[in-house]
Amino acid sequence: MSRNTTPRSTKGTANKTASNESVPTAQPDQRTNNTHSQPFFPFARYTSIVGVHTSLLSFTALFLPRTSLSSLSQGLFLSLNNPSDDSSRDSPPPTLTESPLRTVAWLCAGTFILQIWWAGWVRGWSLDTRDLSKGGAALERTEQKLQRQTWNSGRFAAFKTACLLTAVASFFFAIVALLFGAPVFSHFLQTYLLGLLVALLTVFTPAYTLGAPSFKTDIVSLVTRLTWIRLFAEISPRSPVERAVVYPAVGAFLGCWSGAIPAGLDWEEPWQRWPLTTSYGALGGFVIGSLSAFGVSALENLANFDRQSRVSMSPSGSAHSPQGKGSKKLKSQ
Amino acid sequence: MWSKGFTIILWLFLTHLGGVYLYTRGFLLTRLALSETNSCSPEACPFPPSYSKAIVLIIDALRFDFVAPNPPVPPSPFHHNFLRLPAELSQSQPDHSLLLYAFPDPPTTTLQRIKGLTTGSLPTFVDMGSNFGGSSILEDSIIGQLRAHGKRLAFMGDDTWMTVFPDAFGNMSWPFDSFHVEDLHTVDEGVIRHLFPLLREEAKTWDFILGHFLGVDHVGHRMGPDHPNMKAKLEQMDRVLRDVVEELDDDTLLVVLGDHGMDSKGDHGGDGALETSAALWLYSKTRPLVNPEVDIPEHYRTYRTYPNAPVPHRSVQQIDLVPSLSLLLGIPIPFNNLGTVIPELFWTDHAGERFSNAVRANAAQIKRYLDTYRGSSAGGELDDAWEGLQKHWNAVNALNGSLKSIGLDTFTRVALATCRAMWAQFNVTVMSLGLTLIVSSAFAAWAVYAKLGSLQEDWESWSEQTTWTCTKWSTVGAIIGLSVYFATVPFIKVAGLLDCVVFGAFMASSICLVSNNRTSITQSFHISSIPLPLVLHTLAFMSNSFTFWEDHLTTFLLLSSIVPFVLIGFTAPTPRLRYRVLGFSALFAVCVRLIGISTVCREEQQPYCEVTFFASSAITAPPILVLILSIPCAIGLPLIVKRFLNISQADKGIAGILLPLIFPSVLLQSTVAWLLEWLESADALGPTWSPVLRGARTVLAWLSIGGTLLICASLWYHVTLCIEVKSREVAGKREVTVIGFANLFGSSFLMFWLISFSLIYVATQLTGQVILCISAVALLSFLEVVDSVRDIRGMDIAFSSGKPSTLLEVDGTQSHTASVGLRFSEITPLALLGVHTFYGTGHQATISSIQWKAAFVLTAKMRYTTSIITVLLNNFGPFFLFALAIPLLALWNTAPLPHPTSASNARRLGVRAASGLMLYYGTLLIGSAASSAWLRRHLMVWKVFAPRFMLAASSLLVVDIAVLLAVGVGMSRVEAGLNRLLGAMPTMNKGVKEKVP
Repeated sequence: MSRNTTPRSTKGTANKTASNESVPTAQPDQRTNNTHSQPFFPFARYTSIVGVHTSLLSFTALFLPRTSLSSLSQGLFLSLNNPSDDSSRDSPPPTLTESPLRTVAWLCAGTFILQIWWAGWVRGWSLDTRDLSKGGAALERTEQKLQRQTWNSGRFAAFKTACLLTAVASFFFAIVALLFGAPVFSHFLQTYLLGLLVALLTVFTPAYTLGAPSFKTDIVSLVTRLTWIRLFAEISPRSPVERAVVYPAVGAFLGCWSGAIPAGLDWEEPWQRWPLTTSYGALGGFVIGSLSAFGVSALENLANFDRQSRVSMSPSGSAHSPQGKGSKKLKSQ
Repeated sequence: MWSKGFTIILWLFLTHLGGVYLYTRGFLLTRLALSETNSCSPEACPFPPSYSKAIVLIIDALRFDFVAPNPPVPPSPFHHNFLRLPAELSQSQPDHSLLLYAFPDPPTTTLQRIKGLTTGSLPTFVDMGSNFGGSSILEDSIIGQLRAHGKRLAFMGDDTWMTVFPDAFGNMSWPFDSFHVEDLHTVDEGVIRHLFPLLREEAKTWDFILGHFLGVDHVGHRMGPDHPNMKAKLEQMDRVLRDVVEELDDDTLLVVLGDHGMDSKGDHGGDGALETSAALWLYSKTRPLVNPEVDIPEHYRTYRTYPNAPVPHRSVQQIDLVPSLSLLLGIPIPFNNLGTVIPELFWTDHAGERFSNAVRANAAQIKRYLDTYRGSSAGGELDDAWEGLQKHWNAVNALNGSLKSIGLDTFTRVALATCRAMWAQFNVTVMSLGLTLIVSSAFAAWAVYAKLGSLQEDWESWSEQTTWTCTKWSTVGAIIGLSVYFATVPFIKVAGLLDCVVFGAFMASSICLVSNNRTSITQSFHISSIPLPLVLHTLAFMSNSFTFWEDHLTTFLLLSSIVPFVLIGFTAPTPRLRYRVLGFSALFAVCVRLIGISTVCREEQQPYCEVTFFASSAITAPPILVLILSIPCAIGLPLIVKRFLNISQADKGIAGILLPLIFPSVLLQSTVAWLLEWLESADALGPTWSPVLRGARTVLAWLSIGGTLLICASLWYHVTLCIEVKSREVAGKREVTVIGFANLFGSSFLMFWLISFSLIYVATQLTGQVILCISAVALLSFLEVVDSVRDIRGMDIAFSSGKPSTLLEVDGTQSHTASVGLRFSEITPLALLGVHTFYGTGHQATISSIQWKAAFVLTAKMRYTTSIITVLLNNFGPFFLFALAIPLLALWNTAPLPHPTSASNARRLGVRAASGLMLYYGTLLIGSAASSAWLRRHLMVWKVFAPRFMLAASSLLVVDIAVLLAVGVGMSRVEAGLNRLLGAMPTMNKGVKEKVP
């Protein structure tokens, strides 16, 4: 029910934002290109896409490795496994713990497809945000369209970059996992697949959205690099779209990190085998991060909307000052 | 040495000592193992043997109800009434069979029970004696007595016996691995396979057979007692016993017993009612064993009801078997025995003459044991009970006839109760006092750490004043403790005088210190300041898995603790700082992981662990790779250190002599000494070379230690500073250039650290030496990371202060330590590195992993002083080294200008870092002490928790001593050197060569 009403109101917010420059800026800091006053926030689309994406990720985590589709790979991976692992070869539905390698490979495959879709959507959102910020009051529609076209045509290049960066990051994360205590002399493929999964979860989307960071000295690379540093080293996203990228990534890292903890218990459970706990931790962390990004953005948006409706109701601005100040203070912390 | 800040650390150390002392006294049950043996005299062996041969069959974990004639109601369909033979024979032949309900003393683990069953004594955690490390029994025992009396022994079953009696059974021993709990049958079938041929021999080649079945125990552990497998297993045991009885001849006594019981889940180790319920059955086929006709006074016969059983059953202490079996076989009762003869076995005549002889021999033996123990070095343990025991003994000896027998019997029981209270009961009160003190000392360390962060120049007066207050309050507390002791001693007696005084003194001063500085504590506390690695590390001790996988845990935590630095590194304003942070972090991470590869694997880590410290799990030689790397490491490390110092141009002064020349040669001598040891033990050159090699390595080790102490230490002590002063005449003016000023404190202190490093290097095996080198590189990279991160923070502060130009001032970027301060997150990696290197150098938190090889570094034979020193260096070296390095966090790249302020500030931060490290290790001790107190009846307490507590306690004390040395000697000498330098050049034109920021 609320879904039907919110899009209109969201659009209203966006329009109002564009027209009303006196609204306090979300971030006082203006080091980067966020000169727009209010981030564009497609509430309804975001809601549905986050919902679908996280549920599909959960499906990938819990069911994809067990579907009959995945049994196609059984022959391939069984040969790579310990002979002792394939005791239940005959039982038709493969379990998640039967072959960690196969499970994680399917997690990667499913995640890859979902991330392409998700990253494409986030990229579009990010583009809209830039359009708004560049177009200001949305006067130069044609120029915007032109930009959009170049943007779209750059999609393939961006996809290639994202894949490349993910591939590099997968090796990097595998090495990090190795440093954190993954087996050094065995289980290479498992460790690599964990690295790939984490890279897909954390690197692919920002790489597709922001472009790869580079150490070139031109202004675009500098801005890209600083954005990456701000997002992933300082962990300070400034808009809903950045939040939608950063929170799940941080969640995936933390989930992966904490997933290593139960693996050390001596319960001798099949699910404790490397790298199941860390992989599921990463996926779970991603889903939680994605949902909390959505929650925070939605709350913020509601607060903004509420404040603006008060402003528009009392043009004298007497009601605006305490509220506005409060929220401003809240954000600058 | 008694310089500023030293006393406060000393006081923290004493508080730790007090806490550890109290807790250990309550928790670690120790007993002095006396090595005396008894021999047969008319008094000790009052009558000829009743049997010349005996078969003792131990069915591991045979709980009493498994064989009980009246099992609990309702009976279990899986384990009751299947092993029927003992009850049947006791019913049909009451004069040939005696079924008893035995009480085994906790801890109910097989090793402890074997010790109890053979020596008749009570098990303690540490049976202190000449064999501290091994688990073999050197006390007098039934097995030893049998051998001494020329009996031929045969053994089959659980291989624990082979570790306890390595050479008692000769060639008639068939041990089987007891570790594979999954395997239910191998051991039992092995026992059966080897038992019956011996029984069927025409001319017996044995006098005593010991068989130890493990199947029942393994079924219990794996499936629990309520499982069809248990039924099958018990039925199999019943068949075996019937076959044994079938084969039994006249002159042989059969004893079947469970070494302990099992709880409802099939586990054991604690003191639960089911775990301490074991079966004991004695059977003699033709000759009568007991006389059911006689009327034994009720006094001698105790009864116990098994839980839910309909009737009580005759019960004995399990160790009562020891004196009974000894006298039946005509051997003297073992010297340390505390059991009492079982009256039924000796009361065969109506007057009970035989029994009174037996009990007299028994009581005399126990009295002799008590007297000897009283006269030994541990005799003080008997202080409280001695008077009562003496009185009892004298009173009994005045009696006559049957009363005397009763009195003697009571005396043995009183002696057992006394010893049990002394050795086998945790003193929970003293334990809680100790734990409270440990916790409050951690709070005190926190208070010191927090307060030193908020103080500036006035910290010296604060520390003096605090020391004075602490002394005052300790006196007050000691008096309170004293008076509480004397006020309560007439009513309850749980803690000794010393306990009360120690507790009172340190508790009062801790409370005073914490309450005086509570505002600093509350101010310093934020959610974000909670050190997550420390919290996880401490909580890990609550779990046995994490405790025995702690070596992997430290890798994980160390890497996690470096992540915040890496994230800050990405935000660095200049590429140079960024590359420094990221590069050195990567180097640190790689070093940590390399250290983590080396392990000796503890028993519980199998089968998921592969020994890499040695060439294989069976050979204690270093791996080939280590042999190749050892010499390059020894020579290379000082050069690497020089390269690190060169970053700040601090490789001058004595560093210019020590690093390229002396340290490489000293370290090389240590390495070659160990390489010779490898040659010697590998026997590569033949036995004729052995004495040559031995002599050569002794000489090399002494040369190495001598070189370190005589050359390095004395040079450092007198010259101290790593600095180069050049002066030249320029246009009539004298210009003095000082090189290495920017890292003067750090480099000079590092030389001090390297001296200890090379001392520990001598005592460390080859693999450990390589690991030590890697860990030194890790330390230096971490210091560089911390330095760069502080630069980044300092720049951030400068930028946000609105006056970035302060960065351009001479000591603008250099003295960030002052403005940025010291964080606990910088202490955590160093503390963890100590633990990590401990594991990497082939140690584990077990007593068996102590590297005794290190005892023979300096001498061919065990010598008390040098051997103990080298073993201690070997074992605690890693903790010591990284605690000694802790002031480097405050000193590294800290320029000593402006003069008195900078030195005082560095000292404050050094003391602060020291208290932070003490806080870290103190918290670890809380974790392990609390977990071993809480889980003191846990199955694993003696295998996992107690050894980890001992490690935590001893490493805390080692860390304390190390930081005391670091602050009292290292930092003080560097400061004194600086004072000399600046005093010599009062009008020095300081052309300070700066480190490029």
